[in-house]
Amino acid sequence: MADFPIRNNIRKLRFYHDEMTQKELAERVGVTRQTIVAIENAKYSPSLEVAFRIALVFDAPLHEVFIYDADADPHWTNKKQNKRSKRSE
Amino acid sequence: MYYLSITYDFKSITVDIEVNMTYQDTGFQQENALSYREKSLIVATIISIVVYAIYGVVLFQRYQAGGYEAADAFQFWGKAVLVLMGVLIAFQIIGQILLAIAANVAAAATGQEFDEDEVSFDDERDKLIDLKATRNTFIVWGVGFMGAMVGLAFGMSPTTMFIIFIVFMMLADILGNVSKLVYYRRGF
Repeated sequence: MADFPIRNNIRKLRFYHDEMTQKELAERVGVTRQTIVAIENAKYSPSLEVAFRIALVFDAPLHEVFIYDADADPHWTNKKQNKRSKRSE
Repeated sequence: MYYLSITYDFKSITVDIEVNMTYQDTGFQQENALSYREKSLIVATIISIVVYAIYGVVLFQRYQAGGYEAADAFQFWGKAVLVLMGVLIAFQIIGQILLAIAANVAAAATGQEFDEDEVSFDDERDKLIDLKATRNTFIVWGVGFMGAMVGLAFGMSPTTMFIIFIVFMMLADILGNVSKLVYYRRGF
């Protein structure tokens, strides 16, 4: 499975919003139910537009819907290591 | 899928325990089950393999029996490729229609609603997967085309060139469908 540094609370937020189904969320956001499934299971990172629409549906800020884990992002870790190695030279 | 969280507050006289449970959506449908699109891709892949295999054998036998000269070979292979395309498209259409009928019957039998959005609506994820799979398809087809051109440059016969075209066309077609299936299942 693809390893994404971005997790989300969509499943929990759906439950707290009158037990919204994936189908209902998909219709409100403008994607298919399978895409919502993929997003919840961290198999797909949505576009900014879709991410904002999801946050709007739950009336929550983006950082409460999606959580970015910098430690799990290989690009971010590499940049930090390169800066440290350059400083030590 | 269930998760349980218990919160308690010792500041109050009474202890409140809140239990939250989630449940699987859409009639407890397994999220790991194959979606309609994934089943469609599997059907398309199987049809491609079967049609290419059978047509390849028929074509080979017809070519050997025909005894075509070099000048006739282009006409023979031109017709062969066009017929192959027509046969493949026809069988793919039939296969997808049968799959749609089977999916509707299965949904009706289990009392579930068939999600027509999966069939009629391509969202951003579907379009992105399609683009990535098309890129893979073109890479394979491009390799085959260049291989055929290199072979021609080194004196290969037109028959061999067309065989390479058809083989790589088959590989590209199958790889495209398999790529989509992998992207849908594993993510990207």
